[in-house]
Amino acid sequence: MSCEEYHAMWLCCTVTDNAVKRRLLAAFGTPCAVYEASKEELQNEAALDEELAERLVSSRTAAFLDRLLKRVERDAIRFLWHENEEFPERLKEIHDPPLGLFVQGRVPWKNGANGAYVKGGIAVAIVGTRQSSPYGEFVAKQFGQGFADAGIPVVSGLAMGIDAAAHQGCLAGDGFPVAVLGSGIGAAYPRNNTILFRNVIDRGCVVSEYGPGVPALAHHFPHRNRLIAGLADGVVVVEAQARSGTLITVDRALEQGKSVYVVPGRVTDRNSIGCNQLIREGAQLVTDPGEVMADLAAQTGVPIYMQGDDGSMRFLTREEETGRPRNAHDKKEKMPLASNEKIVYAFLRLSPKHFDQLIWESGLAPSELTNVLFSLEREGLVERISPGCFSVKDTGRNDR
Amino acid sequence: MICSVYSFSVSGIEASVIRVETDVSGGLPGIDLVGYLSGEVREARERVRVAIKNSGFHMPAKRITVNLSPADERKGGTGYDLPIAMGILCALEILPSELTDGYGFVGELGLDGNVRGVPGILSCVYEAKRAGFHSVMIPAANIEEGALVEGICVYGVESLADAVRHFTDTGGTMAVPVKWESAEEPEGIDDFAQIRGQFLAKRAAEIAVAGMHNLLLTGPPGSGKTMLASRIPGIMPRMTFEESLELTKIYSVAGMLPSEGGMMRTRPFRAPHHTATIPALAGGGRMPIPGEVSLATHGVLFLDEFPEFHRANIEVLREPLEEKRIHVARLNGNVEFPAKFMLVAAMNPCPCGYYPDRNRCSCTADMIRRYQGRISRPILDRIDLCAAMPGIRVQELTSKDAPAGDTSRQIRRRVEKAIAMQRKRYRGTAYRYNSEVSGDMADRLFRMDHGASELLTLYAEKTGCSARSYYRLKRVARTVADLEGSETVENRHMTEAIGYRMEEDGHVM
Repeated sequence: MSCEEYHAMWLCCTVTDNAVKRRLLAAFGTPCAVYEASKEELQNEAALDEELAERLVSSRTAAFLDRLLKRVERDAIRFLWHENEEFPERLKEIHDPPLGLFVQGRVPWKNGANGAYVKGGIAVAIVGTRQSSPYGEFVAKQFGQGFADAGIPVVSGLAMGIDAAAHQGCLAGDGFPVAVLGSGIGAAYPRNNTILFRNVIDRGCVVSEYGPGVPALAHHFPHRNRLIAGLADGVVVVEAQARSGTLITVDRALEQGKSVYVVPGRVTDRNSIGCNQLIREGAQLVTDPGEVMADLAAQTGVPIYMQGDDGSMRFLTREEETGRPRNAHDKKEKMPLASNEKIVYAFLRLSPKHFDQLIWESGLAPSELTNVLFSLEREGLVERISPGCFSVKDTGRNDR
Repeated sequence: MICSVYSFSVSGIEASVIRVETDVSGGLPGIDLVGYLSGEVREARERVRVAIKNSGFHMPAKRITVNLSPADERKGGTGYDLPIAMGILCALEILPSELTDGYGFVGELGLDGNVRGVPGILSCVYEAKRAGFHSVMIPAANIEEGALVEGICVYGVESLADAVRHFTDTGGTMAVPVKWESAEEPEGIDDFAQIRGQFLAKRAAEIAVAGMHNLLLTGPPGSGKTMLASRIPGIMPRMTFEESLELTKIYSVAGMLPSEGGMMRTRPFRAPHHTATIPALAGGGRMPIPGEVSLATHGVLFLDEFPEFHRANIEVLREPLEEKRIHVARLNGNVEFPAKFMLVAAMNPCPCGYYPDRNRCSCTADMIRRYQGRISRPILDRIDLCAAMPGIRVQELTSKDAPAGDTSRQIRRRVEKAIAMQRKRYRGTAYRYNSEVSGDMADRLFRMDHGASELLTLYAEKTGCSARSYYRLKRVARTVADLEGSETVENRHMTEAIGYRMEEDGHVM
């Protein structure tokens, strides 16, 4: 790490307000100069209040810096100053661009070429409420997995609810998750997401404007939403309430000229109010990740690749690109199932169905049916939602 | 002169012999009662004095001292009235004291001299027989209960005069020991055939009963969880004499025997409300009486709205679930009650009750997690089977072509067969049911074919399930095989057992 980057990191860890950082750089030129400045100089030339100036000066102790470096080393945190060549190009173009980014994991963006992403070339953000319904999480997972299948990184905020589900779906599809935190780098917030947080670092990356140990203050979260929108080419809203942080992300995306896609919900559901309002205001309604990809491909001109079964990359087929359902019979014919299993499978749907309902329909004895369902579960064709409730397991692109 | 007669004190469901010593001497007239007595025993002084007077006997102006021995054991209840009165009458030489040798006395006196019923008679008569008394005199109201014990003469008396007449002339009714026979059909329990649909839950209940596994029912409000649970005693095997006797003792001590008297012939179904306190569940009181866990012995303890129970109250179930008995520690000593119940718990899957029906349930994942997290994990660990019950639609209830379910009697036949297989397998061990078998014994005693053990290993590897869940599946699979009459646990038995599992992270859904 160069001297300048080192001092830039120090600056980003002590000052969280972007405007103040910019003022300091305008006054002193380089982070090194800021580091050298005395308390009086800070107060006079950058118009800092006394408290902040005092904090800057007192944080120059060896102990503070030592602790910071240890944290950075232990959690394998990398600091990208905006002059660093790995710093994402596209974040330089947004309003109020970040001056530095902390990153855990590997970054998915290519440098130089219009900030395009490796693999698919584009990235999609999935955002939504923290108070999600099981349905919303299901949809977020489906979308996350759908984008992952096409090699598109999925950006979200690692919050509870839809964010977490989007990341999980992306991980399930062996994709590249990008989590933008509103808290200091190096720890999950909320803590419940710690396991997900580690998985995201393993398979993708976690990004934050805030250095290690910066507390998760309420105003950080709406602020980081501009980065979620900035890192993505399109934003998919899954569930949003009437007054929601999600709508801030949508506003930022629209300011930055990104497309907004909305998954509709039931009109009676409070998690649908925000979504339906966005649709009313002209956002594009989507029901399938394929529709998003097709639209983005048409807009950006970036051909969308899809990872084949053998790991090779291929173009999307026209059907996939237009989002029309794949022929669902392909999968069925391939299944070497016993006749009872075929019968039961035929009665199952994507929405959970209860065991007793299946008994009525199939006419099997309870002990037989448990056996049939279990073997279907083992084949990975059926999912047990709860003790007694079963649904078909699929990517959401069949005829059910 | 000093006279002794004998009575009994009940602690837990066991009785012990109490010696009632009476001395009559000169001095300030009056009756003194000593021997670590509680309030109601001390009040016997007035009852006995008036009852003796009103029975036509003369109380001379003497100093009477009564000691209940052993004097360091706390005595409660009103059953000492009759022995105290008999002791005084002997000491006053109204009754020749040698006549009362070999007799035990229990009963409460009214001021008019009538003898009234008391709880715990069965335990007292049992103890009398064990301690070598040839006869025991009890209130006529309790005569049927006393008659359950063979090999001892049981006399029921209506009044104190009646009791005295028994020795001087003839009085009191001698009880004829009753011949015990189990009821052919349990009374007062509705039939399983009345339940429409609910195949999964009915089958789970059958398996649970066949191996005495604990059962958790989940489902939306009105899906019939209580209906099903209340019918479970009806598919349990008929009670043996020993079981019935033990249950009768518990109900006798609790003063809850049915008014017509006699034994408990039907397996109990206890459904304490979720506001029940720890003493109500575990047993308690100054002189401890049995709580719900004991009253449900040999039957079903049903906890509806399981997550609504206070966690601390539920935790008291841990000891009875493990040890099949419960200790109640009180100032007056430590008593032990049997608590061999089958636990049936019922809950809604989420606060609104309709999860996973997303058309009706709008609870968030967090709400569901929090709701299900209210259940005590250690208790959940001891529940072997879990079955979800769907809401029933009206057309299913009224539909003509609905498959008729088996009657309770048909199910009970199958259960009895399965239990007979377990009896055979566990002969010479302390176990009676599959659910009680410890892990290493399960490995030794359960014969599993290759398919079943391979499946179980695969499942355990895939889900990373705990050792406890592993053995839980093994035990349930054993019961499924027993129901089929198969000595070997086969693949399909194991598969079915896995179908009733709970989720590995401890959440039901």
